[in-house]
Amino acid sequence: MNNITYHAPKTIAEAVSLLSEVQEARILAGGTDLIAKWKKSHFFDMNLVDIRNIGELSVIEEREGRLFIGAGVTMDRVCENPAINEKFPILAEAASKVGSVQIRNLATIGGNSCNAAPSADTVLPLIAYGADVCIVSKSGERRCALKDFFKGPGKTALEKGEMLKGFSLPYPAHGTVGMFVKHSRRPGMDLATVGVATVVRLDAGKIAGIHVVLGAVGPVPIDVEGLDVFVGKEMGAASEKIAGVCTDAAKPITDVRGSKEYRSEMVRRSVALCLEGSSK
Amino acid sequence: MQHKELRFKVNGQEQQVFVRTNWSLAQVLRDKLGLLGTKIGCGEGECGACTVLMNGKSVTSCLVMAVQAEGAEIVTIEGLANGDTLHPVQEAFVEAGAIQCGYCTPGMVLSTVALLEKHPKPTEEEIREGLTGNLCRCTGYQKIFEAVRLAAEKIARGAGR
Repeated sequence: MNNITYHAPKTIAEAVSLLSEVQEARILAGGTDLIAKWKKSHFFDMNLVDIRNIGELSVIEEREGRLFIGAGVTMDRVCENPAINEKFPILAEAASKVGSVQIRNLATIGGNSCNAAPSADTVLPLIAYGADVCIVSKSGERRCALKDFFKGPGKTALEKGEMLKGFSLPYPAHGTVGMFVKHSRRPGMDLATVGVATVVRLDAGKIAGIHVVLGAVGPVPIDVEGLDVFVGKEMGAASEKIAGVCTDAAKPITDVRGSKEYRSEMVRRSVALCLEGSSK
Repeated sequence: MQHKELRFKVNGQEQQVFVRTNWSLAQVLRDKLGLLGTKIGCGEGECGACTVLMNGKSVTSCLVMAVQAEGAEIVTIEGLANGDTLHPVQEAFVEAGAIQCGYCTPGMVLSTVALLEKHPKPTEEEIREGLTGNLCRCTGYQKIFEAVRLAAEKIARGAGR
């Protein structure tokens, strides 16, 4: 107990080589979840691979006509980055709702996904914008949709020896509006009781594309399916039905933050609120 | 138990200390360097008592492993005053009566310094937002918010001089 071995690779190549060699290696990024968990769980032994010194992981840049956000980018940078604010505003908004100033200065966008908490704030807009994750290992690189990355609370699609390199986001089509709601007990320093991200494209008042993602109402973030039937419909007439489909898709439980009945109702209202905001 | 040599700068001074890999930055500042102004409250990043500036950004030093501070510049509450002259934020906290038991004060002051660097004329919302990560169980916060406004005025006046 309380033994920590510490590695601080400078490159992705060094990091993945350590991940394949070191037994039960744990990636340390911001540390805001891992170190807190370590302290709460009786200081279990850890073999840490600290990725904060890897420059390649902290880039935000255009690649292949999409925006690439490195896994090691801290939340404060997500909040302030001009490209993210312009093209993916609800991602910046969600990042600004994470923890506190001090936590956002440490916590990374990659950690928020890899921790795989059902309530993770930045995951919802990332999925709603159609983000892919880039995963690296010693044997190369692979990509998958972020919505398929989550396998359960605290469980991801990352295999042994793999690490998250970053997110690749397609630029939204013109006229796309994103809305985000974090419903929590207090405005700061709290996990979401219900989180909702919507990305909607309207064409002359009619729905041309719609994506709704729900957080903290299931074991993994829920990318609501079956919304394509509303394409071509007037938003005003459809929004109540869409909120109903989303409420049915939610699988909330009762915990300290709220009952399942309350969460269900908050999904309905938050989705309706987002859709109403999108058509303004 | 793994040890490592840590080189970093604390309050402008180069430091070279031998640390255990399982120590937090807060522990090293307190136990190795004797900088007891950095308080450890919850130990989980919720209360902000351990707030220090790391490379110019406020962080909860209980969640930073000491070995991660390699090469970093750290400012603790001890590094703010210039000799016997208090930093304007410290002065403002004293004058506004924003201190009761004092345990949260070093963290509050450092969060205020970081806040005012970003927002020299903070709105009420920016003040509350900027201090979300610092809990105070005595004051009810009003005197602290008053101190932040006063500090902003003091800094603006100082800059205009």
